[in-house]
Amino acid sequence: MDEALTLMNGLYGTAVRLTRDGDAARDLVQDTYLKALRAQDTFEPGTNLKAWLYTILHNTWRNRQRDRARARVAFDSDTVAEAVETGRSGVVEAVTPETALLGSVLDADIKAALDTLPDAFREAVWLRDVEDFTYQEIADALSVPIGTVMSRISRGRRLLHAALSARQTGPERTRSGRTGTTGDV
Amino acid sequence: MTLHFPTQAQDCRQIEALLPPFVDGLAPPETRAIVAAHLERCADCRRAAESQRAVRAVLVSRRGALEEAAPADLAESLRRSLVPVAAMPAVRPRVSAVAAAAAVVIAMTGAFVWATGRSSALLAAQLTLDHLKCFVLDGDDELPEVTPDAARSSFKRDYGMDVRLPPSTGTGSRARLIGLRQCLYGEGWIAHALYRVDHQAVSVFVIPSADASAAQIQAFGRRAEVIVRDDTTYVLVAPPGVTEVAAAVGLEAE
Repeated sequence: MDEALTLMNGLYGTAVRLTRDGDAARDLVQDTYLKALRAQDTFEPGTNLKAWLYTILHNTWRNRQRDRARARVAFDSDTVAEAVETGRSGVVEAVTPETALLGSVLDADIKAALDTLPDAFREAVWLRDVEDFTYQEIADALSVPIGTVMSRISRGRRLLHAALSARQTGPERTRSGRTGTTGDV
Repeated sequence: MTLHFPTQAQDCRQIEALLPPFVDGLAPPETRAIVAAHLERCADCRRAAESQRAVRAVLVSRRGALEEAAPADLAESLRRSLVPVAAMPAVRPRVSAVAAAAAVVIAMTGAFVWATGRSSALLAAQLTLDHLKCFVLDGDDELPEVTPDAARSSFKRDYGMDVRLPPSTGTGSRARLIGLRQCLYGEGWIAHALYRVDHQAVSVFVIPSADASAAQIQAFGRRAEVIVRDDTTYVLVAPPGVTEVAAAVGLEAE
């Protein structure tokens, strides 16, 4: 369990992005470790402890969401996916060069932009680009096919790009531009 | 060989899911060639790829700043909480009064498990904790009675699992089914059926395998019983004062 505790910061960071709330994140991390302890005889030494813990974290959170508001959860929601799909044309209006544009964005803006993403996309992008999970590890943690993971990362990055671009270029541009529905998701 | 030419929109949809591995440099050569060829002729997807590259670059470069530092006392709090199962009730004030005696039972069970790899008694003990946490502590004040059929179909719709609930107990039964939840146990998800039997909180955990053997334990102030029927294992958890629980929920003793 000591080894598991070394992963606490990453789990907590992910929990904050999931819950958007420090206290709830703390509670989620505690529950995750409690469940991990109880299920530790199912963990195979030598396999990926980090992925195993994130699986528990994700499932615990998803369960809570479902228990509390059985309707609002964005996971596995085709509706959300479709809603996002309709905004495709808006994303590609951003100013280039892209990297230069986003290079100066503030950390706080990135967090705020991440928080505007639907849960499923936020989690996929976070696990891939910040926590450095492989696609397969994300698929395992979220219990979805790997193709779905790639799709969510793709759409999540697209939405994040739109949100960050809007922040960088200011509200005037957003209002007058053709960025459409993506900013509202 | 028949060649299929998708429309541009279909093509873009398919390419979208391939963009992450392409952008991350993880696409196998064939996929890479397909995506590259598409990007050559599709300006929208080309810009989408560039956007993805930029977003990933900024996230990767800011990893350190984006990670939230856990509260200073969380690690210590976890260390105190994550003691062996035997001592866990000590951090759960509402069950601590009954836990001291039970702890000995569980500690012995735990030792047995580490020696043999499995134990129905530990299964029962751990699910007793889940019963306390998810039912007794979290409460069920807002849960109306549901029929087993309605619970099953709703569970199947929400979680994709067909649950073999104990046979319906019929009108006038002592047992009222008031909820069916999903519970993470061991290697996967199981169903947790919440009942009121003689107005007392009673849980039936439904495990879709018959690996366990029959067992009865008393732990954390609750009595738990493992019953195997056909290819399903049921774990009943109830206060000691509730008699004939198995019969009440429809799992008559054989």
